[in-house]
Amino acid sequence: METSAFTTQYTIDHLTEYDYEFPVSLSHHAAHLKPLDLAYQNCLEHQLFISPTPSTIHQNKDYFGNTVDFFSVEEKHSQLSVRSQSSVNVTQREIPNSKLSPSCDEVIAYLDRFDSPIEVQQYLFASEATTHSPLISTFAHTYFRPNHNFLLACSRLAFDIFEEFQFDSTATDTSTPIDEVLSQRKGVCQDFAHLMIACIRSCNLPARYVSGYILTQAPEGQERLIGADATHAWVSIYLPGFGWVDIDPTNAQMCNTDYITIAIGRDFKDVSPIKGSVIGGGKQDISVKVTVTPKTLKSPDKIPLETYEI
Amino acid sequence: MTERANEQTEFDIISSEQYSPSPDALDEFVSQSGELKEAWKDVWPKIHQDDLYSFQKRQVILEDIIKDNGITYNIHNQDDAGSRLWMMDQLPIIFDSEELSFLHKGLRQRFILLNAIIKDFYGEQKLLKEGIYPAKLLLGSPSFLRSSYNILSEDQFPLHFYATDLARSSTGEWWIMSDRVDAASGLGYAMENRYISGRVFGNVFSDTSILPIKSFLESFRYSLTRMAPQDVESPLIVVLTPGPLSETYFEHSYLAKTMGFELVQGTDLTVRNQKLYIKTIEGLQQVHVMLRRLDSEWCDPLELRDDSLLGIPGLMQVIRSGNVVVSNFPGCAVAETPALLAFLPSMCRYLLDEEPIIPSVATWWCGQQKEREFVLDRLENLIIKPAFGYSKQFRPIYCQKLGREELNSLKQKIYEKPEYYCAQQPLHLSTTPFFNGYGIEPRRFLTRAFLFKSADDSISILPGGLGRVSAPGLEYDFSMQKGGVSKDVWVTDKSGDYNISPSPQPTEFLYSDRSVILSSYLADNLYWLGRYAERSEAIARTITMVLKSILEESSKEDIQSAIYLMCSRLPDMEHELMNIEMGDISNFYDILGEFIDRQVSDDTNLESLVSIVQSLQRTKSTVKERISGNTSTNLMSIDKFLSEFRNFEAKSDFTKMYKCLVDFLDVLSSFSGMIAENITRGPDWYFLSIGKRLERSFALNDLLYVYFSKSFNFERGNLRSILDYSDSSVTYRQRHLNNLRSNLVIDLVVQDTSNPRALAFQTYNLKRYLTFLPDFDQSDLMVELKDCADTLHGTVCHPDVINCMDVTNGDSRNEFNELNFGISKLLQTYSDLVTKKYFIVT
Repeated sequence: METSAFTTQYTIDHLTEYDYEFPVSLSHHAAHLKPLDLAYQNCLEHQLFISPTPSTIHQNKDYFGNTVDFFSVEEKHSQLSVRSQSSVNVTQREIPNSKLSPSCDEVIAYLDRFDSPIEVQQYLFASEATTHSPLISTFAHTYFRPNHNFLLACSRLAFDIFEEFQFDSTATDTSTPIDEVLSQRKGVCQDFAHLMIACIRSCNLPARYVSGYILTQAPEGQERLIGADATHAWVSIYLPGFGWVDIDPTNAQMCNTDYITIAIGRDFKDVSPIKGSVIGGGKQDISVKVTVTPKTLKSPDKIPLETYEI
Repeated sequence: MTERANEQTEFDIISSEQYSPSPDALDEFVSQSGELKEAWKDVWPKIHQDDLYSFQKRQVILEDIIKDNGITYNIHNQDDAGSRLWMMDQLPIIFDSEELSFLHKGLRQRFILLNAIIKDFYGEQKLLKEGIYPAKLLLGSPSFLRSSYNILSEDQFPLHFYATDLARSSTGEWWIMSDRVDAASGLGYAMENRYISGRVFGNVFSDTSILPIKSFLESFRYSLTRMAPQDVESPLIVVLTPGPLSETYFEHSYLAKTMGFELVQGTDLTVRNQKLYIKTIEGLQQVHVMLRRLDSEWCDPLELRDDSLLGIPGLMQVIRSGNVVVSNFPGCAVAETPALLAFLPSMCRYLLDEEPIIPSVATWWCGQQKEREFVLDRLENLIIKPAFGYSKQFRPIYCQKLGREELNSLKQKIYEKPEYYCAQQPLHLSTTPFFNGYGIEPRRFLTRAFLFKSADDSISILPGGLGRVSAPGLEYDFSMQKGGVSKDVWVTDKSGDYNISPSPQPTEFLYSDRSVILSSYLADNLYWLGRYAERSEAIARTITMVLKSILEESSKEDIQSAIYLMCSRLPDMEHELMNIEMGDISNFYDILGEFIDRQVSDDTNLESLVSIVQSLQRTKSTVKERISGNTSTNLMSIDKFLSEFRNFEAKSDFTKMYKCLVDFLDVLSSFSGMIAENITRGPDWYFLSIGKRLERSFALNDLLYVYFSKSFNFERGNLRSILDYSDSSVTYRQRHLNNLRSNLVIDLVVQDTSNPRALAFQTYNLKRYLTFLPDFDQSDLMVELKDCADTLHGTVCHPDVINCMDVTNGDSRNEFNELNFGISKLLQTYSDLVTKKYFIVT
């Protein structure tokens, strides 16, 4: 494993625009847009530009440690635009040796111990977007048998989702249940992350949802990543003795310096980039544009999951 | 005869044969040997100095009070969902003040403990860190609201009001069956039960030492006013309800009315600049304290459940910034987690360094290995509950009732997802007498106790409660849907030592100087109450006239004219109505009967009497606390007509229908009379009256359209119908004898501002009322509204009106149509502007 940490600096421009059918007289929003500070990530700068100018804006930390910006617009408006600009340093993180991963039943036993980390416990349960169903359980149990290596089981599942599922932004919307994603084998990054999380949790194992960005333009000689033009989503699993490990089922790779984390939670609902409640408005059109520009061009070697074996 | 023997014989009359408590259950009323228990000794001889008949009579009186006061609860998730009358047994649950003191002590500890637990969960989480409460059980719970984390300050009590269901086991100990920590219901019903007891057993209360409960609500009210931020002199307090369809809406409105708070739904409130406001007819007014009767997770669609239409977007931010205080703090529901009971004793020791005074029913959480094995070993003797909380899919499972296979499949489920299950030991509950209509019988019971933190930080308990008995055979289901019935709870204090109200006597606040506000929601409903009342009158009046003309065997011409009246109400059937064949009488009656049914009983017709009366009922239920007692009771009697109208078939019995409609009109006119005589001329009255006047104008204008524009030959019959409909025949005859002339008729029913049925009378008042309404924001809307009213009244009173209604002049038809249409448009504009200015405050 490489010892000298490799750092990339990014500037991110994330523009969300709402077009309302009828004027909105009052709106309240909660935004998860400021990138997190983590062991391997440092948010140097973050600014929100909102139009029309909000009457109030307040920043808070949520339960998961993410930054939330609450803002309200009290003047009549038919369009709302939220531009989030950030500058982030991402350092290469340590990728665990899969040989050292405990087996699934060892993970379960560890988490039953009273001295296991408290915060991990909340990522064991079904949530609204990661429901348990017989379909999910049956699918999941082939991967997570009690004696299986937990990390390898996760990477196999992620790889299979990448191989067997089609990325199709027309097949689903935010309310599509994961059972449907599983049966039609189509979806977007958010669906794949939810599906993978549901599988892991249905076997009483810990997984959480990560919302973030990936590099929009691939470095020379490399393919552009899927899902780069909008916010991205992937999965983080908890490995006792190591910590959280991020895996991207949409691109079948271990997450590293190409990935910028905005927020983490149990599922999309905890970290939705912009949530809103408006009076009036009628139908709304949303457009999202994301540009992630690296200041440093060189990038570390990727770790595709097919090569990530014992 | 000794007194003792005398008591025995009295006792015999009603019960000796029937009242036989099960030998293995403790009974609250008699001992094993059949002697009266101490608590009942004073009361029983007074209650039952009579025979069975007086028991039955009392039950009838009791049920009448419930009906008259409209004490109801709503049922959901059932085919026959809807509003039900409250059910109460006349016999109370009785215990003495010593027992109350014990319960007070025990529940006070429980209150402080639950408060400390909630505070820890939403703050330091020492209980998790120290391994006293399993992290999974908290963090996996849907009731743990992460938005509530880290909001509470050091000295804040998340728990302000608390209720708990108590039961007594066969050994005589009290047990806590379950806690109501989030938005506990029942207090209003308990108060009403006591009111009913007082009416039914008046003498008993004056002769015995039963503790009164009334002051509890006064201190409770006081404690809420004191929760407001320090610098607010007279805080605005609201009761947040999910709405008229919620199970205990009656109680929400009861509490709001009794304590003088505003009853609001989420849509009546709005958040601006991190403050909470109520929309009123005088603009937005800041809310300082909220008594929350909407479950926590539905309170803020922005941060909590985003599918909630009942909450207020942004509320959590307002709470966070300290600009409103909510009782109870959103998130308290987490302390209702069923599996939490398993950890209460250890949490009590850890947080309070005390042993629990009153035990809770024995509970095991299957998420722990040892406990799981214990549970699986003796599953058939236990009750299995969802560890995190009830849902539609998961109600308590009484394993005793399960077959072998069901038991095994349950075991398998527990084994796969143990965290989701907990088990409880069934308790053998004690019994209390229940009057079943023929005698008294023992029933198992629960009693709900109510406590709150008073303004001086002491914990007050209601010296009473809400008792409930279950149906025979259903030991643990006390719900009314399953045959449960409520009871009053009496606490006797023989020594007279019991101090009911330890909190300061709150006289100073009773006359707070906050002026009464009228929320936009109520104003809107008052307005619609006026409109629906008038509309149902118009329909009933029309049909009565048709029926009358038939029953009185009037001339063909008059019958025809009366039928034309119906055209204004059934525009889509105008053609059929006008061409109705009167030759074959029986055929004519059949056809007419169908038209009438369509107007009365057809609930697919949104303008039928049944539909309108339903809307009337709905609006009435939301405003009944705003109008005086008699007026509101008068409106109650409208309910009984609904079922009569529904079952009507006009053609089968014109006479019966006629009579019923006349009765209905009587009730409506006494309602109108009460509005005129019993309501102070404030905004409430003006909105109600605007509704009435507008609706009456619409109806009259439509009627004129049918007669003049459709222009049937302008016959005398038509003129008579118009006069009859507008109750103006007598006046007309006094003025003009029998000389029917169209211009004179029009003058009387259109332009005469002294005739309360005339169009001009309505428009004159619509104009006048505006001067009494607030103009809080001086917006252009008021100017527009006044202009509209001026134009409206001017149009109606214009001298040309009479000319253009002269049907002998064929050319005036278009002119009339234009005029008629113009009036209708102005009325609509008036209505829209009032709505915009006062009801939709954004």
